[in-house]
Amino acid sequence: MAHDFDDYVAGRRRALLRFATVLCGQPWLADDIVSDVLGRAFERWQHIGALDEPHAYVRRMVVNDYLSWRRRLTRTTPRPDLEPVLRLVDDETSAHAERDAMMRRLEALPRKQRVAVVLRYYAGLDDADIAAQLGCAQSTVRSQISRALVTLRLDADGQRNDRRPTTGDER
Amino acid sequence: MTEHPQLDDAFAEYERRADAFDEARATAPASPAEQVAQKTRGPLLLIAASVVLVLAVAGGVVWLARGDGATHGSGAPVGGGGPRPVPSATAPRSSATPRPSATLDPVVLAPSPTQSSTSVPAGPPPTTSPTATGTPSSGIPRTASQMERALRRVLGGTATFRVTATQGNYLVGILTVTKTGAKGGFDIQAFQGDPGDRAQCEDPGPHSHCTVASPADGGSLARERETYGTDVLYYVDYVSPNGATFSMHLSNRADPKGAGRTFGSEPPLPIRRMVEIVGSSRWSTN
Repeated sequence: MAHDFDDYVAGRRRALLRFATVLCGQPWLADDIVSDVLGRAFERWQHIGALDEPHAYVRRMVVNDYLSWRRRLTRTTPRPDLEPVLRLVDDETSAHAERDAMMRRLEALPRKQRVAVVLRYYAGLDDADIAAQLGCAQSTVRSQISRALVTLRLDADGQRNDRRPTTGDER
Repeated sequence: MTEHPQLDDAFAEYERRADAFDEARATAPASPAEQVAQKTRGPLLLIAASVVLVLAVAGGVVWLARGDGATHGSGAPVGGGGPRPVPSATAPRSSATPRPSATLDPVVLAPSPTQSSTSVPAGPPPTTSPTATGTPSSGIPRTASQMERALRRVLGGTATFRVTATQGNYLVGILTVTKTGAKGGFDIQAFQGDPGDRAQCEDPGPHSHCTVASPADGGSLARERETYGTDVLYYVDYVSPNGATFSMHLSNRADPKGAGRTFGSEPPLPIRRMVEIVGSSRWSTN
């Protein structure tokens, strides 16, 4: 059964914005990505809406957009009209030093490592699905996540690891 | 929850920031579809504004050519009496002549049998079109293995490829041209759309040039070339008259989206050849 685009956006837009924010770290940039992606999805909804899992398809569009060349060249500073909101949020979270440190380490990851980590630990995808989304082999996914966990100072078993992070090779 | 509570905390904080942003954002139009429609209307408005500007400049040229130059260099603002452009007092008259779009926007794409939109590309006509090789009207590959087999049929002996990822019939890999050894990252996907669907440019903008054409078979064909510094990406999107759609990216880097090792200054195949690939009659699994 084909999914209705309005229903999809109403039901999933917030989840997409959250996912994109986890991915890129900036709500304003995430909003830009999600809006662009939904615009393109709207134009092809006859195809996407007929899929069993349109959300998986649209999420892949978000990942591709985040990894695209165009996004690499996009502005890296928040829009002036949104800065007060972001400052307020920063103030509210300043007490949570450990979490903030983790967020800084996440944001320092090379893009593909970050996508791999988000798809594994946020979206809960397995190696095969992550490999399909990233366009690489499953062994590459495991390698990306392994390197990312070192940078994040986390062991694969969930323990803190204070070894020095390796240098990312894709920045 | 994952086995990494610190990560969970960070993800939860990102979610909270996303929600705060969403709530603080300026009020949006009532319908979600309208929000999206607004987004897609933006480029159209820009194009419309550009057309108006070009017409205004062209009108000014005609006006100047007629010798009605009493107000040259006056600096008077354009009033309500009509579209009177105000040329610079010192600029030579010829400078007001709009340059041809081909000069402003050089491209390497080949023109199509019938050009239907955007700027006119320069260069020789393609040696083939989707019509020349047949249209993938039925039996499009549904699985990755079907797609791989079909792509090998379509390429014949001209190129080989190694698949690095799949999802459904979506293939990602590295293509190697047999004759030259040139390599590039590619992806390709096919799906059954509806009759009358139109091919679409993927990423219109200052870094890309795209044309949408109407081949003689009644289908629709988009060809796009994107450049970002030394990174080059080709994209073709072909919709056959019955709606069967084939889309392909090809880059000069290992990843079709422009990451990984750089193999050369251009993708390994010309766009003309990609048109032949997506329009091949050999896709059919029947």
